[in-house]
Amino acid sequence: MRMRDRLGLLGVPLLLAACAGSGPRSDEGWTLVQPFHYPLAGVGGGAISGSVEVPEQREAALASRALLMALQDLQFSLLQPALQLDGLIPSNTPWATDIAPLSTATVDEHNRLRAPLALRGAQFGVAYKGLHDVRDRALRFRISALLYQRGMLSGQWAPVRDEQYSGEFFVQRLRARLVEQLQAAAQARR
Amino acid sequence: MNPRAVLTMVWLAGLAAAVGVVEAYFLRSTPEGIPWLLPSDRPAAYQTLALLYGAPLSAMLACWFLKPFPPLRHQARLAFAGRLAVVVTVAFQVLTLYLLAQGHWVPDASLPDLLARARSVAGTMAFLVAPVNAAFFGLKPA
Repeated sequence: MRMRDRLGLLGVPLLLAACAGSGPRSDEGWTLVQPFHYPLAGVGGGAISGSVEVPEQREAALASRALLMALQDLQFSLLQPALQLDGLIPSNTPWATDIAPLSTATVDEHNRLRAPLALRGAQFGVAYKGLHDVRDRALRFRISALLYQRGMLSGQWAPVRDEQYSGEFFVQRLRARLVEQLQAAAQARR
Repeated sequence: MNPRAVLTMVWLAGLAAAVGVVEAYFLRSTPEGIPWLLPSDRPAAYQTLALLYGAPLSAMLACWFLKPFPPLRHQARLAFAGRLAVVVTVAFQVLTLYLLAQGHWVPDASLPDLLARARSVAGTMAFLVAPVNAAFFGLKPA
């Protein structure tokens, strides 16, 4: 076999690897991936199931507004980024909330669903941080929850160690609100 | 008993009582089982206590050892200065402890606020207690 042919064979796997790398990126690491479509897309008059309708050029605004409304529903304020006049969080910009105290009902629910990680002996509060992005016809949200505790007279919150609570429980709490907000925004457009 | 020893005991007892008052917050909890303070609050609490008591105690001990002031010629004046120092210091301690202990009966109090208030009042009252103590401890023996 000539050297040119050998190099050609070597190039095939490299070319395949490059093609694989340029394909759609994985949805791993995103808490919520919500597909969307533009008005009048698809065939027939029925709604596209599992997808929300978003006008063109309004995807980022809808994602940001839904996120802000979901945070507001749960009594959170945004610490970063500082919002501009349009009141939107730009895509791919990390955001973080303040710490909001958890109600006794929420703590009880956490303890009921995650009994081995039951929270006791303090007042608890949670803060969220994350990122959102709009690409590949989907609104993507990455959310992390950080749990804090304090006594009744404590002046400041102290972080709870990661292995002592279910962060996923609190992430799902915000995720559920976010899905509600996205669906409400889609309903409002109909 | 030597008035200087009495005065030193008043200061040290005041410090011990302040530690006791603050520690009592850690032992209490609400009917729902939420403690008033968590162990993570200790560093901040004791830092403020150290600032509150550290300055007067260190000045007093420094004056006791250095004795920078000339002796009083009249024993009657010395006895009066001793009584005055004790009275002023006891009043100062009682006021400080009262402010520190307020969280035990005032609803919705916060420990940092209580400590800040006690430190602010103690700082304001220092003009009354510091010179008397410094002079009394800093007098050279006749």
